[in-house]
Amino acid sequence: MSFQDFLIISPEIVISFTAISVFLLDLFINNKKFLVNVSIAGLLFSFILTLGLSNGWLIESPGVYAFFSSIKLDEFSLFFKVLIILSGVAVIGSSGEYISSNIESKGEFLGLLLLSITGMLLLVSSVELITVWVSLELTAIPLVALVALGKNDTSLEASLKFLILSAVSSVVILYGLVFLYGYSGSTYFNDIFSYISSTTSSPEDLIVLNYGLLIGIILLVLGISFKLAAFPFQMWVPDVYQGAPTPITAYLSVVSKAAGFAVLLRIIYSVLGGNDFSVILSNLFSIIAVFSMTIGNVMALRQNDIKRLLAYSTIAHAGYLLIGVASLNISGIGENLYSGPQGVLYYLAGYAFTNLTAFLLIIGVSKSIGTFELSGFAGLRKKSPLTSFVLAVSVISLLGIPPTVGFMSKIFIFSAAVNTNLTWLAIVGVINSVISAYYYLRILKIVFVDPENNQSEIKVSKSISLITLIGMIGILLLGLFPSLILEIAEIAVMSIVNI
Amino acid sequence: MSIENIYWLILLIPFIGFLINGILFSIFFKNYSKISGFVTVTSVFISFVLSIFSLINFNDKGVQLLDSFDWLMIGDVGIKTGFLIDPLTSMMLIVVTGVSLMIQIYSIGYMASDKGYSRYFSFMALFTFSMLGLVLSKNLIHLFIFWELVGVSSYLLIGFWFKKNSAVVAAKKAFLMTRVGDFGLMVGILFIFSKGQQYLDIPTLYKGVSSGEFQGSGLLIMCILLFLGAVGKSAQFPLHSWLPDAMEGPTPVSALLHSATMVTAGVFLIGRLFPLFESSSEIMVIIAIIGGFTAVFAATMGVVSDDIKRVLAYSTISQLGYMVLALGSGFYAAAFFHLFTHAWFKALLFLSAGSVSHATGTFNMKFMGGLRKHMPITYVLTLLGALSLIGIFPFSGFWSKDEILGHIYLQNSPISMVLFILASLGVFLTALYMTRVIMLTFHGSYKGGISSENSSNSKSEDNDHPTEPHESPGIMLFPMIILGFLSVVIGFLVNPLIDLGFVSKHAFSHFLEHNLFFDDPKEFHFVFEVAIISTILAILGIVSAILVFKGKLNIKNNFVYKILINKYYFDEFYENLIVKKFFYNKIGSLLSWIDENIVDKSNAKISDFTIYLSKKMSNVQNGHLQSYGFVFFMALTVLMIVFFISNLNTGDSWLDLINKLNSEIY
Repeated sequence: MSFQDFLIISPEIVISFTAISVFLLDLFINNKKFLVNVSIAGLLFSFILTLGLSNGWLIESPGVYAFFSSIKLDEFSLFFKVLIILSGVAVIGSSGEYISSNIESKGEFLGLLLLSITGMLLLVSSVELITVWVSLELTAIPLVALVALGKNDTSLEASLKFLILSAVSSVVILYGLVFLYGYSGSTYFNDIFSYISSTTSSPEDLIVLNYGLLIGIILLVLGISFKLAAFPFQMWVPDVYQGAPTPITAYLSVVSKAAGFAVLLRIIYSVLGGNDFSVILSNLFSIIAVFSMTIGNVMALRQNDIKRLLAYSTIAHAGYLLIGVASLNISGIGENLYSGPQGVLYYLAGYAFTNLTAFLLIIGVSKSIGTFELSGFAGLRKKSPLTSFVLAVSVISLLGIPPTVGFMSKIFIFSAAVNTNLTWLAIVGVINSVISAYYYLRILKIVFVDPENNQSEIKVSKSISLITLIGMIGILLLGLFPSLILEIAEIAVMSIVNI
Repeated sequence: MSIENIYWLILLIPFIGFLINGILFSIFFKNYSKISGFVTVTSVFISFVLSIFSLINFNDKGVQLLDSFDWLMIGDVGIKTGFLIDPLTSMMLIVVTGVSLMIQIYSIGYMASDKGYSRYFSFMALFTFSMLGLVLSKNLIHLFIFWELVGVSSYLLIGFWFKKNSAVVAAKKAFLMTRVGDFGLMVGILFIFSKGQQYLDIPTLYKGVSSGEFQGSGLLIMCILLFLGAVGKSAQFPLHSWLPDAMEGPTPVSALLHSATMVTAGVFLIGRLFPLFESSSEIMVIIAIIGGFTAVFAATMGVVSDDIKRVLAYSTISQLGYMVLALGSGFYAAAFFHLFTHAWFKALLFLSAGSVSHATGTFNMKFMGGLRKHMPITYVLTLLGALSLIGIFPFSGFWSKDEILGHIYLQNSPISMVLFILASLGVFLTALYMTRVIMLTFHGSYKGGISSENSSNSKSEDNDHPTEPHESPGIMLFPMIILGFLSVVIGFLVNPLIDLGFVSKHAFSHFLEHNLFFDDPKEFHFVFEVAIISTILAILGIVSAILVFKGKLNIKNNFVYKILINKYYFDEFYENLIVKKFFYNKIGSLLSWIDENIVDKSNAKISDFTIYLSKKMSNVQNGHLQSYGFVFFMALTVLMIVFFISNLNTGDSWLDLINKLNSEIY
């Protein structure tokens, strides 16, 4: 272990120290706004360190290993680190007012959230099975407590469900990792990769290896579907999203999902690489994608609670993203304009802007109207034109209409599918987005058309207004100039491909 | 200023108008909202002048492919922003900006007392921008983006009076129904993409088609999907029923979007991808038949409707059918000539309808009558538009319709004979319904307008109208007079039979063929006997309509009348047969479920099937942890088994496999 190892994980170190300081300061300081500021300062500092790592100020260049090769700092992990940290800033920055009125244990709220972010940051850069699992646990356990912090019945129920199901998923993932280790003899991604690609001794061995790995992969993928909020582990999503404090819902829907996809992509492209598995994997992901999209969209049609509706919508979006994962084209990366993983990265970035904007606005508005019922949003246009406009932009982006980022994301994902001869999957995706028009338009109708049914005044706090405005600009900017992200995404994807 | 910048200006100036109206006058300076009409008119006017410049420039330079800057580039492949300037684009620029300009001027008068004045003008500017973007696009992705934006602005404008529930329902119906078509277009584009991403660039696509890259059954499927997009946008059978409902929007919107420009986007798309369609003879036959059938089918429904705007809407569907028919028969120039003339006179007819309703407060022709005396100018202008639409010599519609009919007549094949008969029948029906409109609205005695209508408030656009109808103000009449003048002369003027000196013989048709994919100039004929036949049919139609009006012919209790007044029971077919019969008997397939969802009139009701499905799913989603875990492990087991079976190599038996796994473990 050298000093450089610590430099490489300096963003994580900074955030975990911030978390601990927040816990301690909470005991002495009564002004809880200060704690929010400390958290944001910590996150921003770690953001600067991340930039430093990517630009060569701290280390020579990305692509280095640390801590006995269990952590790798490459463009891929940097991409996700930036995404996670900035989403964290958005969530914490806009939840100051929310926690001051809704949460009793304010210091714990911030500290646990920061710890979970630390786990996410480690997760996206780990290249070793045990590190992956430990980081996964580090992301999940604080979240269990965070979901419970609403301190009401639904919140506690949601937390219990989250705890048990998250444990089930961890066990399944662990079981999958065991298979990977058992049949390859190593926990390091690179070793597993070279073992798989070098095993040509006897066809019989290869069959056994393949079946062993197959079990491992299916277990692993289905376990991770908990993180992705995708079929078959999607059922907790509506209950937990509804019960959890709304900032945590926003965090779950964006950051947790992004980290899940990061792990999935890294395992596919670094471990399984150019092996015979691509067809099997592609079929597996296609099935999960179809089920996720369809379940999400069909169930969303009947929802009257906006948080539940968006919960189903996240399931559907996980499905669209999985189309991009299913579009495996390992040899074509770097040559093709739209490869699947590149589309996934772009989609995740755009989705972060879109979904955070939507959820943060809901925090702001529902605080004033005192309900999460869709009908409570009636007449919002009159009460607060700007809020309803920003909400409309994010809903339009979720629906996938130009010139928003949601539209371009779908274009890239679907064209990646077509590129890899998965045209049928792209068609299922397009049909699904037609279905989804129904419930997204319903939100717009309620906001813009329906007469107002309560007199409550809408007061959205300044921090939420500012962050959602930035979000809206991001939605439009990335929609108009996708190259801003696409090129970075391509470099990021190139850095994890083992051929 | 370079040529490229002119096109940027044409495109962006309406957008700037949209921003100014949408941000400044809708949010900040509400008291000055009256300026917003002026802003939109000015921006469209500048675009119009620049479009004329570009047309002159086009005559000098011919087809231009302008790449501006990299948009989605990785390495040296990808998509560049740019414009494809060919005759079709140049013509569409003139049509879009020209008609838009007239209608914006009219709107200043028509919308004067509306509360959403600046919102209206910002949407109109947004629409103009989107439509211009659509016709200028050089690659299919941009085309699709603007195609969707056009749909969005149409949605916003149909639902403009969002306090009126019928308007909101209609807007949603239009949006969802055209999205079925958009789905086809999107998948079609994905098909083209799968042949290679360079084909997203339209000129490269033309080259690919001519070098035989697109062939076989894949080509047919691709073309059907792309055509589906055109069917949805241009309201062709069977996706036609949204357009009459779309008349819930303000009348100038109907004039601009739902007659002259937006609905022609589908026709434009077929024209833009014409080489692709032309390379598959099967799709051409399908296109021609759909077009011919729609032309007659929609016209028959126009004959019995009592709402003046709905008659015009059916007429639009029918005329678009003619254009689609012409394209399907391979007559590119004829189709776009008809699009060109139709835009002016149909806009005129809609504006006249708006003017009439401005005076009477209703669109129901049963409560009009005798307006000839009260509003003579509107009467004369409507008459000019109607004669042009019917196709009476020498009005503009005569020239373009006869060009289509004549070419089909000359084609001389069994299918073309059927199509010719259909098209001629359409001429008769057009004369019938247009004469009926004129008679009911302007002749006879005045029936009292809105005050006589029972359901007074629900249908009126404008409540404070005088009891005595009056002529519209000058700001509304002025654009109508210009359009009236164009309706009379433009057909002969731009595409004359003989050399006029300043315009050469068949100038318009020859101009349109100067594009990237027609190599050899074609012959254009004027077929004299067809002109005679169609004129006779038109006069027959006019005479029979007058006879019916005077009470000489009684049709009310006729069987045919009943079918027609019920729109061929089309909505009933969708709702009763498909929805109720299929779904209550639980044999609904997923496809008809989607169909039902999209066609369903009541937006509050999601189909019983979905609710059924949703409920079944909710039974599992019951909040019990056990069932969540159960579903997960069931899925895990099923997937595991499926993948094992599907990946079992031949020769492997399960027993062997288990033994091998065991030996590996111990």
